[in-house]
Amino acid sequence: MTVGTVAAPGQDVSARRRLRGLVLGLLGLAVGGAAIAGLGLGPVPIPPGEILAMLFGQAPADPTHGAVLFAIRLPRVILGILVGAGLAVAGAAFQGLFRNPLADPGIIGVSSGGTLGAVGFIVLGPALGLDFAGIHALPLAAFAGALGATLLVARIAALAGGSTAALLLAGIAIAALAAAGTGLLVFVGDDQQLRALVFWTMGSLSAAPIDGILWGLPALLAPLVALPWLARALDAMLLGEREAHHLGLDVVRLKRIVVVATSIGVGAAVALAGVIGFIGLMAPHLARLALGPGHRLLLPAAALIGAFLMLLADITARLAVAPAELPVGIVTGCIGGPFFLWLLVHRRAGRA
Amino acid sequence: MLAARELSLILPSGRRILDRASLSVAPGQLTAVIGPNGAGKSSLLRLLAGEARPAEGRADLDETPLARLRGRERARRIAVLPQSTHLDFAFRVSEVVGLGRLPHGDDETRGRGRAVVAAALAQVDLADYGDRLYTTLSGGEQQRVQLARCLAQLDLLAGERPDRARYLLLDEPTASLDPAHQLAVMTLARDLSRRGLGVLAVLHDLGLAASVCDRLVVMAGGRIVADGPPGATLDRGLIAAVYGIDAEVIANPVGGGVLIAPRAARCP
Ligand SMILES: Nc1ncnc2c1ncn2[C@@H]1O[C@H](COP(=O)(O)OP(=O)(O)OP(=O)(O)O)[C@@H](O)[C@H]1O
Ligand SMILES: [Mg+2]
Repeated sequence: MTVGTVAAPGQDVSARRRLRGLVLGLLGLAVGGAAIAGLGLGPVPIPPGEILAMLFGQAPADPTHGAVLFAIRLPRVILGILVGAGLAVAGAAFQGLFRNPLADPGIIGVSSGGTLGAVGFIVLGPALGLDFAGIHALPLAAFAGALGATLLVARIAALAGGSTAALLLAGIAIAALAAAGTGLLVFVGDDQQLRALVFWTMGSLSAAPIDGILWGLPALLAPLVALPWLARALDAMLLGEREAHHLGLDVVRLKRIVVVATSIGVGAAVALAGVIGFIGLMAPHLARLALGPGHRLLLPAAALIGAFLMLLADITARLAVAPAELPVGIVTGCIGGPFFLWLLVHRRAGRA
Repeated sequence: MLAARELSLILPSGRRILDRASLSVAPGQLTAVIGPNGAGKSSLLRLLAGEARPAEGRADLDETPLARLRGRERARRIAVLPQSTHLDFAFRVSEVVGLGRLPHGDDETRGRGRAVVAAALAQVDLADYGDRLYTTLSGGEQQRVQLARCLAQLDLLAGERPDRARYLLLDEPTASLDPAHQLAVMTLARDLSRRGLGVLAVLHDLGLAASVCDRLVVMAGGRIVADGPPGATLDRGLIAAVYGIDAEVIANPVGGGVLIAPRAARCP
């Protein structure tokens, strides 16, 4: 063909790279700001300067402040960051894997299985002689439910031929079954159990004990650590499974790694904070609008946006009806739903 | 040599989509595969790309079964342009072409990858399109971007000859192109073959196939029914047998090559 002047692709590549670095930097600052706000706001306000001083090891000026910061708010903010980032990265990876900006790890049964595990433990636990006393027992039951459901879905999908459609359909069926099981348990549960489980099914960062978070840390970090390595492979998946294969990828293995890493991470998030919707959709969507669909930037940007949104939602949940507290899942739903509709109507032409 | 040896692809119903098809894609040669819709052309290409396992027979790259090659090794030697690719995500054109660099471990932003991507875009006549959003291109432009991605995957800069033979498998590369770009893409395919690549192109334009290709492989009903130089292969009898139309193959009086002139198309 006509070999004209060979222009370098993207003459303003470096300008664009600088812009992207700037965006990531700003997002990082936003997360830092939200974290300080999350640590400072509440019934006992702590000024930012004091927070920073305490975080950097100075003895607290006021002992109550020290106790509130380290025993109550810090675990909560850390959990918020990890859960928000994890849900966002898992969502972004799933959307890449399924080439669908609306995909979410929920479609392979993680959330519904986790809910069934937790609700089953709350309602049936006492009858089986298990008790709330074991602080790790509830998250463990939820985690087991989440992974169990995912394994079941993956197994059934493999039996049905292993196609993406089979995976989605098996996920829908198992999620429906798990939801029915959950409904049945709710039906037979008593009042006290219902209160416990409502909070849980709607998500909250308040329930997790600090040592539970430490136990869950490796699982929460799994998708954050594993998925960025697969960024280029996920880019290729956006072209299609055949094309990804032509480019030398082992598509079956890639799918397996993504499903395992996300279900471990989302399973842990569900176990420690309940079911929190919309972060996994909203954060990657915003990141794609700002930075394009390439996963090398999308994954870190989505993680930062997810963490930021999660912290914001948690602060809102704590302040909106103080001194009571809303389940944070309600807040993400209230913000996420309208926001999504607004995007749908106004940003059709965006880069998403 | 990329070779199909007695390949068969059999549906659970017992129907043979491919029936003992043998073919070798030779380096330095431009081969066209022609045949009616459903003849099995894309299926043959899928097996040569190592995408599916044949029910019978083998597909080999230099005597090694494709299934035994590591993906990355295979991808450095065989690039495939599928019949259609649907990409809904708003990548920039240079990013899409840069995906062809995946088996080479670099991308469109630096070093050799950057140069190869720029050269690939220039070769498909889209030198200035690097920063455009892929989703805003026309169908034919998108098709050419995908071809550029294959070129970037084959890792050739102007004037370079590959040390080991590489293969380019094109499934209807001209389907959505205007006449000028159809000719340009096939000329490019021919040039690449002259630089030592083995190029296989599925085509429906018999005149174009016979005019630019070194060899015609004719498929019908899952079988290879003819294989040889265009002049000796394509004639009135073959066209009637394979397509069921009465057409004359005549020498192009003005430009060389051949023209296919239907006497009367029979509509069933
Ligand atoms: N997975 C499948 N299941 C059932 N039939 C199939 C499958 N794949 C291909 N076929 C059938 O095999 C035949 C060959 O298909 P193929 O795509 O190879 O044809 P083709 O020669 O490329 O046709 P076209 O010119 O239309 O692209 C077709 O009749 C098609 O319907
Ligand atoms: Mg075809």
